[in-house]
Amino acid sequence: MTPRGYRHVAAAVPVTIPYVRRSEHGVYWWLGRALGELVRRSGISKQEIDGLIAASYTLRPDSVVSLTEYFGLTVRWLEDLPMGGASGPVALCRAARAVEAGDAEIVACIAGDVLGGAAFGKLMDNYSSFSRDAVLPYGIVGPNLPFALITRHYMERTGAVREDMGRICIAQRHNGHYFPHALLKNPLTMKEYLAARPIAEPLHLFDCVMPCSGAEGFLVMSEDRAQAGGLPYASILAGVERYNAFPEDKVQVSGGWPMDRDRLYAAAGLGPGDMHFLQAYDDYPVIVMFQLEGLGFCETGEAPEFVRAVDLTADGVGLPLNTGGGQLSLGQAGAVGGFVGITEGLRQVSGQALGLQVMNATVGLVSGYGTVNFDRGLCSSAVILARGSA
Amino acid sequence: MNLCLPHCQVCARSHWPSREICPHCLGHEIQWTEIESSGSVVTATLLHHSLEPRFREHLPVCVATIQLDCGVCVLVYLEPGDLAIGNRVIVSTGTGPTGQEALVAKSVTR
Ligand SMILES: [Zn+2]
Repeated sequence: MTPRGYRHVAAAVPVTIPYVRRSEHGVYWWLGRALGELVRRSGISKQEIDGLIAASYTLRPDSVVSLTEYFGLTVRWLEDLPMGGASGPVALCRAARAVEAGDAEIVACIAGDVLGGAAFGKLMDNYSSFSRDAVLPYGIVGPNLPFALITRHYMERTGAVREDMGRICIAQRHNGHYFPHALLKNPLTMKEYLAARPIAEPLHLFDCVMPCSGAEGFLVMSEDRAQAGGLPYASILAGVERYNAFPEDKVQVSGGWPMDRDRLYAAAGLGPGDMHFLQAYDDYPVIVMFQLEGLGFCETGEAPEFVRAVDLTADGVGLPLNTGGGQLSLGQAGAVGGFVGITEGLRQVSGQALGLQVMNATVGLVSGYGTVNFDRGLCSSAVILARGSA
Repeated sequence: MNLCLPHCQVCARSHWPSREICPHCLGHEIQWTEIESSGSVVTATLLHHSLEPRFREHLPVCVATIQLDCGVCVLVYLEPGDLAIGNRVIVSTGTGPTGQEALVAKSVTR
């Protein structure tokens, strides 16, 4: 089957509601802020929105269905995303296909999660039946445990050292320094990175995202509608999803991208060398390395060499990585982390960066990863965005 | 010391974590069966932080992924001195630092 992109579809109005660590407000407030900003900034009324897709952990046991009544939305297309960190590219692909097919005209894509009181601990307790039975008895540490195990294994296999992980964190913090909504803005030095306290060895403090509260959103519509509204937009050249790739690997050594990248690039008619930036899912630096390898920016096992040789800053000459600072600077608001790359990627290709703008960025890759059920992230996703042309 | 794992009565393979349906053949007759408890350290971490206050006094603790000789991977508690990758271990059901039931591994050389 020939891979196919998304014809005459536009993604527009990237919205980031400024994050806070602990929220006095509930998750509906955050999701509603994102929705409200989409309406306000697009000039598209709530009544015109006929599709809704959302990602949120702390919305449970409510669902996206509950959102329609809460926000007074009447829609004909609705989807609930449990993919966590992979949810942004997935939301974009699903919404784009719905608009292309005529199943919806304007789809609001939103993500929101809150950290308040014991919310994070509660989230971990309820995360999955496998986690509860087979992971939680081992220290009650949340995702740091599986990712410490994955990182140690990766370092042993490839010869990566802590400084290699540090290069990713430091470059992203440089980008985050210029991003107005980043919770962690201070430039990070290698000395500070290496001196950080251990959390779950080999992970130390700056390898781990800071849990927080926040929301992100964007709209998907026809190119005609975006142009009629005078909205800068991105076209979606290609997108892929994959779940439970390589289950026989005893420790995770990649996401699902190696299975899907040929299809992804073929649909776009482009290769990794054509990308002006990479917005990679960065819950931990080792996962960024998985994406550098799995999406073809370097060979398998060579990401440590790649990050030693290539400038990853948004105003550098290499491969701009997580140009708004990524979750390592913004903080991680649950499933919202899955949307961070999309909103930043949309801003970059449409020339609306809030912080550093990559020079002449017209095409870029956004990838997502997430949902640790037992010992690895089960979801991976990726999309290629291009500047929309009127 | 022995170790029991869920074992599919149709395809005769074990799996972990426990399921009521076999992930290999979708067989629905699963029985916990005693298996060879030896295996090797695949990866390990020393935990310095926990979300659970009553766990914190026991830190740091070592948690490892062990590949049992039947191929199944499990998480276990391990002595920090035994966390070298490739180290041969015996896995059994025991208790974790706070007394909860957990898998524990001991180096065969000890
Ligand atoms: Zn079976």
